[in-house]
Amino acid sequence: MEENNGNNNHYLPQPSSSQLPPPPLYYQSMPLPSYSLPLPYSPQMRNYWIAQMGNATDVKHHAFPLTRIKKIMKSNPEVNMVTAEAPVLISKACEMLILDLTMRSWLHTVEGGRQTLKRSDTLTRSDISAATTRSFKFTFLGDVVPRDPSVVTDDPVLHPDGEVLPPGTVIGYPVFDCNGVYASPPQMQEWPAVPGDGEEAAGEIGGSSGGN
Amino acid sequence: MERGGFHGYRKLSVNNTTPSPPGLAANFLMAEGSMRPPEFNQPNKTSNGGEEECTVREQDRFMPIANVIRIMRRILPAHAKISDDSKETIQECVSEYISFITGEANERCQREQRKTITAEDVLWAMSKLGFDDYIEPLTLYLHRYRELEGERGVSCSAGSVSMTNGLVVKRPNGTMTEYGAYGPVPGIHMAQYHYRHQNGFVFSGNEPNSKMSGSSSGASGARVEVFPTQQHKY
Repeated sequence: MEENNGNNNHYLPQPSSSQLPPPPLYYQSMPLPSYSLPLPYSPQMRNYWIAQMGNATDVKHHAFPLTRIKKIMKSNPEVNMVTAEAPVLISKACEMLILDLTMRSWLHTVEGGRQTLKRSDTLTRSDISAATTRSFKFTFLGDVVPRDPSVVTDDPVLHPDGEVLPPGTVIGYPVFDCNGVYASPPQMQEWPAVPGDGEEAAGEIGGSSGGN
Repeated sequence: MERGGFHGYRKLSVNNTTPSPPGLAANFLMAEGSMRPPEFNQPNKTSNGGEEECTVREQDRFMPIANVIRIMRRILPAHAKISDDSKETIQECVSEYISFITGEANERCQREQRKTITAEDVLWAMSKLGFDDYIEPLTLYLHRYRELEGERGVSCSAGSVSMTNGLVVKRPNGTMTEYGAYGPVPGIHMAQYHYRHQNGFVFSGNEPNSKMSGSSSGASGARVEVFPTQQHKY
């Protein structure tokens, strides 16, 4: 039930305000709740926060300087001209990306605290690495954030996109197949070092097999 | 239809750099002009990229870290701490994201023989690269932005607004098609599996079709249903 709901919220367009209740404010002001409670950043909550950005009322002040966004866009020599709206849209998208990455990474911060029986409240680079490893849409960050092979095997129960698989599901098969399908194309597009990427992908698949 | 065919060959040439360009030149007179710029740009891209990296200031390669931290803090608990290496990592992720989306959007521009990257190209690139959940809020934001900006320069933006509105309408149709493809699949596990294959097909434009030949019958169904979406978009 919860699994299905998570999938719906994550993959299909949903009316943003009628489905989910607004999150309690104490998530931002109170100390971290007891570990027996559900984690605050479920996929539904993450989708809620991302969807809320579409309701922003202040469209004149942008989160990031548009000139710098334009400069990064034009660092690609093939890019000629950019309309004024494109950097505005990318500025908002970068906000969403940061929220997305931060929420996913914080889950790993909390999990790290659980495993070591020590309360952890510091978001680190390894948390970001773990988060990007688990979601296929962040494959393009492979050069920026080194992939953490141990993450896949640490929690074999978790679905690659962070949701729990239903009981009785063959866990290894979809993970392996998805890696095979998803890993190559973005890397082939972005980086010329195809052999190196191939080796990395092979290592990752090996890791998944080890998890099985 | 012709555009669709051109799209396919363009992708194949990316995968097989040596033999494809002559064949493409022979087959498509119109495509010949479009194919040459990428061929010339590919060797230049490396050297120019190097030059760009040298000339662009270090500071300009990333978004301001204060802005990044402010957004991170917005979603984290009050007691949360953020290590310096994670702040820098998010900065790098954002710049990589901008380059990633821009590259894909620009590729679409070149295929359609346009020189200016538009907001629609950016939205299209995001949906193609797996950021589907960002599309709806970004579309809302873009509409709101245009409402406010349109008040200032009505004469200048009226034409572009009408054209872009036409383009925007196509996306909901694509989404509905995907929904239709997704809906009938029974069971949670099969649904997830099915969805992943759809994503695979979105990426299949960058690979030879032989990689997809081993897919299951369910995936074959998805393949059939995805094509109308692609045709509609083009």
